[in-house]
Amino acid sequence: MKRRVTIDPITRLEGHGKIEIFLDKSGDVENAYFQVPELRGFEKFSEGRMCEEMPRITPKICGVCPMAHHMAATKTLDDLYKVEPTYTARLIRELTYNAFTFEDHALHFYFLGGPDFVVGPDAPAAERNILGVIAKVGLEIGGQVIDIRKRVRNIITILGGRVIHPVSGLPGGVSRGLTKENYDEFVKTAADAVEFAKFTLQLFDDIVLKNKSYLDLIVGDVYKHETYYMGLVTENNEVDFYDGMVRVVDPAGKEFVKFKARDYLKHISEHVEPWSYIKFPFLKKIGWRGFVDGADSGVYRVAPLARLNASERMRTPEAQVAREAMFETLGRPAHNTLAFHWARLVEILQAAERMVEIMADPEIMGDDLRNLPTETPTEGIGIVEAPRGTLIHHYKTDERGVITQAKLMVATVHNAAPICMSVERAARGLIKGGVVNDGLLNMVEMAFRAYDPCFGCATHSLPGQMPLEVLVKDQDGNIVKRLSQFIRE
Amino acid sequence: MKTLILGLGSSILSDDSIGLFVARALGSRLGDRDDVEVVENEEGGFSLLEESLGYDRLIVVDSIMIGDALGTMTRFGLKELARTIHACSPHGMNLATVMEFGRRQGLDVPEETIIYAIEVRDVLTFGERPCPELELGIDNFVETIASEIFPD
Repeated sequence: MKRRVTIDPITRLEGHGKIEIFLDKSGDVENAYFQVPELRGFEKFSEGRMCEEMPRITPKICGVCPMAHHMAATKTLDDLYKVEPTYTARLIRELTYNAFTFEDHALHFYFLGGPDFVVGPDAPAAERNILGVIAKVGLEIGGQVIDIRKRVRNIITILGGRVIHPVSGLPGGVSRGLTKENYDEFVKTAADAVEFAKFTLQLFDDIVLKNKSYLDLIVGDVYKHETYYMGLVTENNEVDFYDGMVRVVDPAGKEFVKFKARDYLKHISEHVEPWSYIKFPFLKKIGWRGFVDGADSGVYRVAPLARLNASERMRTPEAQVAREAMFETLGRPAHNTLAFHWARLVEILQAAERMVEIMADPEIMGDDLRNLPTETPTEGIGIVEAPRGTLIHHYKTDERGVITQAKLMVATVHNAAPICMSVERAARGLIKGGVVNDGLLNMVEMAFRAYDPCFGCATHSLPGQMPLEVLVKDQDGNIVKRLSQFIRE
Repeated sequence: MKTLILGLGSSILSDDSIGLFVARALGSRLGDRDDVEVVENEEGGFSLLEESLGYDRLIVVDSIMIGDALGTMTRFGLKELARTIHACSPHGMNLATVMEFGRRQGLDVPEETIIYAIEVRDVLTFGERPCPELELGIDNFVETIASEIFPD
């Protein structure tokens, strides 16, 4: 008898991802599908707007990555008008962007991904949250998280104009510089952010890596895929969140291709599946071979682990030491999906160190904030590394700068095929002979939570998170088992 | 008693903006009171805790999709949300979790939280207004909320 397992977020029937797992006659996993709902009508919504509006509008798509959309849109304007930001403007953008990366990653570790490890993957669901983390590590650390987040977000607020939906990005520069009034405070915040990042890596080492069962989980086969990896790099092939060339390495870690943002369509194509609105990107030169890994499959991954794999080194010294420690344990490239959490912490340290470096550059106090655009706009492409992976904005305009076409390629879409594969692998590892237990929920969640995906981008839905329901159905659609974490009875 | 009315939603995802519209209208309706502040928040998660610190009472207006009729407004408190305190969200924390976290950290969180959730239909299509059915209901939502939270 064939059976279907559906993991469905019921409070946002359309607004979030949905997982369906199909069992074969013997009760083992036959297939697994991870469906991401697609936002509709962006092109039509953008059409007819002045392109300068895009850095203010696109952050509203997502309450999780507003700064990433703002920065990608701003860089797209640079490209549209063929104007580079001034040196000081670039420093200010980078400072703001690294501050954003730091606080987003830190929040993910302590509140979202961390509980799996800090509290434990086998702990009851009710304890696998920030409250469980604090119960384990102490209230003082909770206070530190609140304090550093507040101070880092203050950098974003002051330089971005607003913390949630920044407004400072302009083609060729920024609208606001740094004042003496804020300088000392920002220097101190950046230095404290470095200490906090090092402390967090130590915490990960003490609680996770020194626990053999957790380490076994990270390095085990259930959460492993040998794929291509993509990320932005500097001219020296160092990890960079704000700018650079897109570098792709193969599953053996060898450079496969390196290209400029504006050439992305030469290297990335999209595969369509009848069961999903989402198009699955793949490497054009390799081709689509299905939801499989290996060198013959065009599937690639983005986000922290992918960035570390796709680069040769970190951009800052202490993060480089942390990166080497990770690869020493996992090998390079590291294919372990749960190591995304580890890589995220290495990146926290780089983001903090970059903030220190930028604040030490005297030009950060400069007042040359903008190169005025003089070119007639036609087409622009901007890429940044959002915390959850490569984010591409692509606009076409008429000669007045009015949008005629707009396209976004977001991180979760890049990772859509690998997430499907990871969910399937986790399900196969857990479901045997038709036995589906409560642990399925968290094991499957852990598979996609490692990617830190963003779904429909309606961020605040009540009850504000993604409740899951697992339905085990027989061939006739009868429910033979039902598991839930939040169901409206 | 100091009250914060927090409208939640995305202002460019059609029905998802209903919480923002209702909060804005509540602000106009209650404009002469000096014990109320209205804030529109398009972020969610941890920022909800930060926004609400220092207030005695928090009123949240948001959209929801639980299969009720379009425009049905449901009132509930943190107790009803408490069952969902866990980390299953890939990108956000729920209100109950962040408020409990704040409480345990000794922060000045509101003593009372009331949530008004309005059943919506489309939160995936780009658009700067909710559907006409919801827009027509805004005055009713506002009157209901205003009379319940300020019965005097």
